[in-house]
Amino acid sequence: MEVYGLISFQTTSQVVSSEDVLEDAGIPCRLIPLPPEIDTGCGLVCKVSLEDLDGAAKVIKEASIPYLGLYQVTLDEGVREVVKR
Amino acid sequence: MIYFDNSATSLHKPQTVYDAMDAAYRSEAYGNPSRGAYPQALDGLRALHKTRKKLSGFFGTKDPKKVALTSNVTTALNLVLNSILKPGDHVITTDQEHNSVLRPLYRMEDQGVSLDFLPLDEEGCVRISAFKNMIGPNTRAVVLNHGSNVTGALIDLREIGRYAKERDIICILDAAQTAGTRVIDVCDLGVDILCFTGHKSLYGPQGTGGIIMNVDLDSDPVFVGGSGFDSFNHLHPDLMPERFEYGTPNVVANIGLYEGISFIERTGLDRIEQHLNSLRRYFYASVRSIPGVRVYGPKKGCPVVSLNIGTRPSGEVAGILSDRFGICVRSGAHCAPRVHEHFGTQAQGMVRFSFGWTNNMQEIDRALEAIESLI
Repeated sequence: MEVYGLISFQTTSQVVSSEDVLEDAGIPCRLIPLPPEIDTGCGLVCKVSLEDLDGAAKVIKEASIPYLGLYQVTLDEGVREVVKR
Repeated sequence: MIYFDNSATSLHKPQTVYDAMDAAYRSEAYGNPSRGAYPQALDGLRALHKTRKKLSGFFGTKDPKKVALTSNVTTALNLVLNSILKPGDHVITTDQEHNSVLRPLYRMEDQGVSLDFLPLDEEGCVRISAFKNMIGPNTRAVVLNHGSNVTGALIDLREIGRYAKERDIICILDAAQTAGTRVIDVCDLGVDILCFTGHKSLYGPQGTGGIIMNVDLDSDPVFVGGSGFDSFNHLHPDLMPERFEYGTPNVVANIGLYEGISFIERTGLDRIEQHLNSLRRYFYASVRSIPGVRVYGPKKGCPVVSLNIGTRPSGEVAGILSDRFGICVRSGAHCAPRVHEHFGTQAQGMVRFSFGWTNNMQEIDRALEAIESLI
């Protein structure tokens, strides 16, 4: 089972800006395609560990980058559950 | 060859600009930004972000979201002016403007935007004292050429910027000739929107430029189309920077622009400014002392000096300088008709010398000798 956090954005420039500030803050982040369970977003999301999700949101907010939502994703034997935080 | 047409474009770029662009193309590492989540598409997106971040620091906004990348300053100015001005608005601008400001404004004048022009004084400097009296209840924006591409005359921004801000008038700056020749901090100068080009004194490639949007404004997008996201929305995103970006951007050119600005930062903008001022000061003072030469514009300015020799057509002089001496200068009207009307040089034009970082005093001496030989 894999559990991780996702942060969705309205634009791709917000996603890449967030990746940049998270890197500066030492929070590992990957850019991945927007999962279909999330109905709004620009097609890319920031994937972070669940432990880092709140900290990442704080860093992004402090950088004045607006995000649309925070999500907890659980992947268990091919079944994905996405819960909005 | 001596290249004195840096106001048109800087011919000599830093080696790092060539190397970075060459490597970027050959690496095949940069895909279409915002059009995928695979490494090449993401690296295209990251490359643009890196350039926006560099520009935001260079122009003092510190926020990459406020930077939109365009293909040149004319595009930037057209996008800004056409997106924020509406029929009934009043705009104050200057007689120093380039056609990249004048023509969009003239077209809008036909559509109901009213215009006033700050005049030039005897030396060719904008009389900013006239600004306050031109302001009316519907004055929406002031559009200012930071440095004349004809005379090099600089405009004193601080007073206008401060006064405009007090009255909610949008201050728009055309920094085509000044970006990269002196420090421009939009917050410090009270500039709301700055339009710049990348291929002149920022030493990037042609096909680069942009908008620094230092203010939150409602605006109508001028061009709409592919943004790479929100595909089912009939409307183009109204957010920075996507509001002013449409279709596939030139990633490799913007990688070159990043390296051009990095070169300026490594060299030191103060040092570059001092060098350009020295070249201009020496040329201006020396060429003015040659009998029969008329120099236009003030003693101090951005690295541009225009002149005429007697009544000889400027094109003829420029042609001789090129053919006989290998000196590249521009002649004619320089896309700034109101400056020529001010000096009465519509027919003769002017011969323009414009300097860059790679020019030196020996080249100026050779130009002075060449000019003296034409008297």
